[in-house]
Parts: sequence; structure tokens; C-alpha cells
Amino acid sequence: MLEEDRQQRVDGVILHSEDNVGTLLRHGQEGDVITLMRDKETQALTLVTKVPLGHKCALERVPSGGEVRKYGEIIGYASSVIELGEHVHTHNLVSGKARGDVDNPDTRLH
Amino acid sequence: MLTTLIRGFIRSDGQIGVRNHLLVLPTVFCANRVVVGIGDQVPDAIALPHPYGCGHLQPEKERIARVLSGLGQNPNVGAVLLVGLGCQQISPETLAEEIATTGKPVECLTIQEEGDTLSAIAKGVGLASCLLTALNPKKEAVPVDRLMMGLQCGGSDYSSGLAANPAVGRVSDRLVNAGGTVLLSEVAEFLGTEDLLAKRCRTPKLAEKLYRLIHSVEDLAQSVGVDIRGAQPGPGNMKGGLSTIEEKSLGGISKGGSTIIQDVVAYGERPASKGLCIMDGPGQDLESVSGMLAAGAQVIVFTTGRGTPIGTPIAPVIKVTGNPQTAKRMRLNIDIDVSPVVTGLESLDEAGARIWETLLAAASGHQTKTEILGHREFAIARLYPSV
Repeated sequence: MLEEDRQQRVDGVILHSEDNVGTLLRHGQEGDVITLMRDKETQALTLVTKVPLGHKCALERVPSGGEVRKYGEIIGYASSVIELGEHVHTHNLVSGKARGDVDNPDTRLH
Repeated sequence: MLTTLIRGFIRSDGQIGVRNHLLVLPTVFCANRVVVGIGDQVPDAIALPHPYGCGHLQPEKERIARVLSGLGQNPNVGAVLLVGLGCQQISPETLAEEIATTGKPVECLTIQEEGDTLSAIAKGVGLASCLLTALNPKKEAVPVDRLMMGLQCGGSDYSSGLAANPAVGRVSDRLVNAGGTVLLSEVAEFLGTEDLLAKRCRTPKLAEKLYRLIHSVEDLAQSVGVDIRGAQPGPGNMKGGLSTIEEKSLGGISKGGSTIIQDVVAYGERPASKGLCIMDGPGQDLESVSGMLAAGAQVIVFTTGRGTPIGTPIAPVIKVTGNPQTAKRMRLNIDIDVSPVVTGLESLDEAGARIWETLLAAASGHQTKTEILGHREFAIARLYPSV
């Protein structure tokens, strides 16, 4: 326990260099300056909304309809503009695969 | 360039075993008590009773036979004693012939020929004891490219897609780059990633084969009114932060790493290529892992969030968790704790490096928790009800 406290802890993890979201390892409050780690590299950003543990925050501004990438792949599309540092989840992210592997216009933003 | 080595048993057919088991295997469940009776008196043997071998429709009978044969052929098995009843769908002699092509010693025993089960046990104890003396204990240093690692995730939780699976993905890439083989299955959990997996297939034919596997799982579910895709992620997943089915499935397949998919094989079928290969199979942990043994996997790396204890009869299972509570609570069942990744203290590369070292150690003889605690679970994925 003591050893853990002495070491530098990061607040979130980025899984791939092409990702534009990071995942929080602790509960984040609006205004928190957090550090995210991708392998040995860290970057900092300011949360503009609350982001719970296990949830995603945007690493860049994503336009409406823009790709959201995690694990180096597209995990869905923004259903509205997402600001840098904003919570990314089912309220602003839609799946591209929710109804079969055929692109379904209902799940894509026009 | 330095070649990474493990210490294994070199079989007559050139395959490498990381264990040296004597397997006592029934070809039908009627022989179970005899098999167990043999195991009682030959404690070094792996007695493996199971509920298969009769009442199977033909395509399923072929699958059961393929899996039992694959199990006997697995290079972790140094010798085999097959026990049949006398009337059964899969004859011990036919299986023995196939298994013997590997060059390992194989004996057969048929209960109805011996007389009764007690006579069969007595005969079996004699045969098993002889087979034990035929096991060659010599281990040699061999390159790690002879390793086939089977992957499984079970009892997944938030830590699986964030820590355990991506960390194992580092190990998959490392093994593939060293010339080894990685088996990825649990096809139902590919939904949402079928296009990107298809793009990663070495040939269009493999991509087509993969699409067929994925669609047939989805069709099967739909035929009984189940919408797998529509139900993922589930409410618990979403509360935990997973937003889309792609995200959830990517978290699962990340354990397979990033390399080209070299082959797509049937359940329990040995791949024709090295590298990352996909095996048809369910997400159900036990059936999946058992199929991988039949395909030739010598080691299983198994990520678990909530803590799943199962092992296999003939291969070490390395249990990896990224959940700090599970790592503490179930430390007797867990081999590697990668929860420092989710507590922000370790990078995925560092966690992957630790898993790699444990893989090499297990492959060279270090017992995993499943082996120490005597876990020998086994199940074959069936296709139809019994007839």
C-alpha cells in the first residue's frame, strides 16, 4: 500500500496511438486535470464534464458524425459535436455495427 | 539475434510437449468408472472421464472423434490408454491408429472383451503402468516458435478490456513474431468486429470463411429468438463504461494482438499455419479451451475479471486478472495480477512483459495454479441433442 502511494499514478489509459478517446481509471470531476498513459508516454488534459471510472473522455474535438477510435479501431460515430475532455458514451456515441455487419443508415448520422 | 528458448519434451513427430502426461481416455462414457478406477491405482496418470461417445448424430460423432483424437495427439500427452466398452460409436482401435501416427505409445482396452469392469480395471492398471515406464522424461531446450498458445477470457469485467486482454495482446504479438502460434476463438464475441477481422485475414477465402462462422452463430441465436447483437453491450456493461458492441468486442479480441490472421479452422482442428489463427467455437469457457487442446495448444492463457478457476487435464492454464480485488481475493487461483494497469501504476507493455515471462516459465515446467490445485475440467461443444 505504501509503495503504491509513493509511485506516480496515472488517471487514465489510452490503448492505441490512433485512439481519440482515453478511458478513466478513477472517477473524474469536471475541471480535473488528468494524466493519461499510453505505454510509457503520458499526456494531460482537462475534463470539461464529469467522467466516471471506466468511461471514456475525448482526446480531441470530434465533429458530429466523426469517428471515435479506441483500440486503434472505430468503435462508433459521434451523434453530436464532442469537445476535447468531454465524456463520451451512449448519449453522444452511436454504434456502426448494432444491426448486423451491413451499414445501417438508422445507426449512422446523416 | 537471440532465440527465446523453452524446455520441452521432443516427440517422435517433432512436436514439442510442455508436459509429459499419460492420458487414460474413455471412448464412451460407459467406460468412465473403469477409467477412474485405473487412475485411482496409477495416480500419475490423467484419468479423463467424460459424457460423450454415444447417441451422437453423424456430424457430431465426427466432431467428438476429432476432439478425442486431437487430445490424444496433443504433444503434452506422452502416452495414451484408450478404454472402450465394445459397442460404441468411436472404436478405441480406430482412435489409437490416428493417435499412433504421432509416434507415441498407445494401448487399447475394451471392457466387454475383458469380461467385467473389475477385470478391465485390473488390465488397465497393468497397461497404464507399462505406459508410464515408456514415458521419456528427457527435456531439451527448444525455440519458443514451437509453442501454440490458446486464448480465453471468462468472467470478464471492466478490467478485462482495459488491462488483461490488451496486455495479453502484447504477448500474442510477441509469440507470433517469434514464429509461434496463437489460437483465438469465442466467435459470438466477434460481433461488431467482423469487418476489421476479415480485413486482417491473409486471404479473401479466409475472410469469407470467417464471415460464415460469425454469421452462423448469429443466425443460430436468431433462429431461437435471441438477438445477441441487439443485447450488447448489456446494462451492466454500459454502466461500467462500454458504449457500443464494437467497443466490447474489441476489448475481447485485443487479447489476440494485431497480426495477420493466418488460418481459420473448425472446432478442435489443428491449424495448417503458424501465427494468429481463429478457431470456431463458443464463448463458453470450458468447451472453448477443450477445443483448443484438441487443436494442439500446449498452453492456455486465460484472462478473468471476476475470477474463473477452471483448468484443463493436459495443459497449464495461466490465469491473468486486471481486477485488484480478484487478484487479492483469489490469489490462490490467479497466476498474474495486472491490476497495476487499472490502478495507473503500470503500462500495458510492462504488464505484457510479465505475462510473457510467466508463459515461458510455464512452458518450461513451472506449474500454474490450475495444475497445483488439480483442476482438470473438460467439455466438448456439441451440435445436437442426443438421439
